[in-house]
Amino acid sequence: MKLGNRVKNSYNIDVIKDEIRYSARAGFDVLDFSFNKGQHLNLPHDELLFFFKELKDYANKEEVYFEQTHNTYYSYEDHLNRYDEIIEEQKNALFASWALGCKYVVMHPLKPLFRYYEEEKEKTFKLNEEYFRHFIPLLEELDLYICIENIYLYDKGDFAPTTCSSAEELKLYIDELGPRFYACMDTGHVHLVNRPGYENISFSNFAKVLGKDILTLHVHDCDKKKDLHYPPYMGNIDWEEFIQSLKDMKYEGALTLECGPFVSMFKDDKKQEAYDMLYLSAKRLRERI
Amino acid sequence: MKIGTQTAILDKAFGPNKALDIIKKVGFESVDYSLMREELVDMSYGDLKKHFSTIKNHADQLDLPIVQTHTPFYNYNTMLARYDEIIEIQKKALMATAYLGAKYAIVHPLMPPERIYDQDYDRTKELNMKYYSALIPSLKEHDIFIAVENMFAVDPYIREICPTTCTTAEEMVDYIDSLGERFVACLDVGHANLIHQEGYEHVNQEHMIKTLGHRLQTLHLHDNDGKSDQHFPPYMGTIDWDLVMRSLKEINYPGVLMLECDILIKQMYPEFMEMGKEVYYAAVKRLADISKKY
Repeated sequence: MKLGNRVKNSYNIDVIKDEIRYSARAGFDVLDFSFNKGQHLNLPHDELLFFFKELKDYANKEEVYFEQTHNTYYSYEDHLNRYDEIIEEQKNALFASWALGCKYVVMHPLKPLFRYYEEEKEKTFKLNEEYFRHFIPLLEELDLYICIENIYLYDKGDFAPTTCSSAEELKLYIDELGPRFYACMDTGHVHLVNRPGYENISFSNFAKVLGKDILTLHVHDCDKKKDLHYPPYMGNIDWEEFIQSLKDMKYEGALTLECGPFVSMFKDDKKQEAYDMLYLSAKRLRERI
Repeated sequence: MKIGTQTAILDKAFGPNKALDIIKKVGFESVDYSLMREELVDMSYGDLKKHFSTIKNHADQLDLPIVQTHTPFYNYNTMLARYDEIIEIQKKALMATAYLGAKYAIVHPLMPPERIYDQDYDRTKELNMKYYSALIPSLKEHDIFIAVENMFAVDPYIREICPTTCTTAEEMVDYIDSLGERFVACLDVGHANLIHQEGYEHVNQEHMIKTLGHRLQTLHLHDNDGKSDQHFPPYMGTIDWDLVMRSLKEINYPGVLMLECDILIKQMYPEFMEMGKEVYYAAVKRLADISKKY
């Protein structure tokens, strides 16, 4: 199983290259490129392709490869105010993903504030169906797949269930949207949303309901109070349950860490040490699978 | 089992009181007060008492006991060059230990460069008996104990980590039993993960814990990749923590799960050091939770 790490977009290409290099030298096999705030996505088309191909070539020179990307996510209010503009930005992110050599693009579903616990499931589904269908022609043209991520709605300290928090709702979306849609299981989000009445939001149930539909992961730990994005074992997730779920679903994708906040605590000249630690955490997890 | 951590980096960044405040706030229940920097005890005896008693008072107000310290350590050449001076420094560190209210002071054994693998055992033991014995009157006066720690060296010919003084539990037992009732053991779990030579298979956490038995009163907990002394938090290396916790339970280890991972926060911006402590608090809390299983 390949070990992956997140690399974040930046206005400064050297910063991106640093993250690529740190990840490669720590030992990671693959990378998850996070488009962050959408930097560079408004470049003219040819320049956009050139920019991201340059990053791909740099990564390959460091003997690491982009396996997946994470599209920029916007508030629902942004979507309402800039709907068409965001669709175009997301399409540009698909082009960029293709230029990076990726196959999988992780995207958040739309998360209206009214989609809270069990509220407004059908209305939210219709909104998301319309949203995601905008991308299907381009997915087919570029031979890409969208992996919808399980998320939460943050409400005054509560990480409440919302669109696609559960495996059941994710499965509904994926089945309705068609063969270009799969799932990304985010470990920290599962842990935060799981609660009495929502015991189905668990690694074991994700494995049971989604199984082979899970093509990508976001792996990180937390204390169930904040979305900390710490390395595995630095929170209180039951990693044995997670490991078992991967075995149950016969997961074949990459084990990709999403621990940016941990890395950001380190001094600039000590970043390599942070990546080295992340790699060891991921390696330990992989050895138990 | 209670969980604890060292003060080293927080003390250097923020001073002793704020270091203790942060450690308490994060959730730790006890402290290994780091006296590794010689300048921390470089003061008159009168000032020593005042300074460390003040720190103890602050720890008491926080209900955060200081259970052990780590005295300064030196390479062997420095020891030879400054022997008498270092003995006095160690005595001051032992006094500081007592004023802090701690019972145990971790004091490294001497590690002459000739003492690698099985070489120079008897001569090195003689040197260490003399060194440690010079500190016994201070131990009795202040009613504290020295914890001898398991160490490693680097083979100068192949530049690889290798056994040295007290790498094995057997040698630690020999030292402790020879020195008498004022000496106990500190098992550095990370150091035990670094020795892989043929003939040293018994240098592993399970065997060492069982061999040390009742002598084991303090720990240094950290992880590594088996190749270098990284002092990473538990679960960031290759140590089998379930086995470590099970072994500690089997001997009814009475002490604290004491982390020695400040290398992690040393690499962080000061404003993130408290969060850094939270990161490995979570890791050591897992260990404490594991111990409840056994």
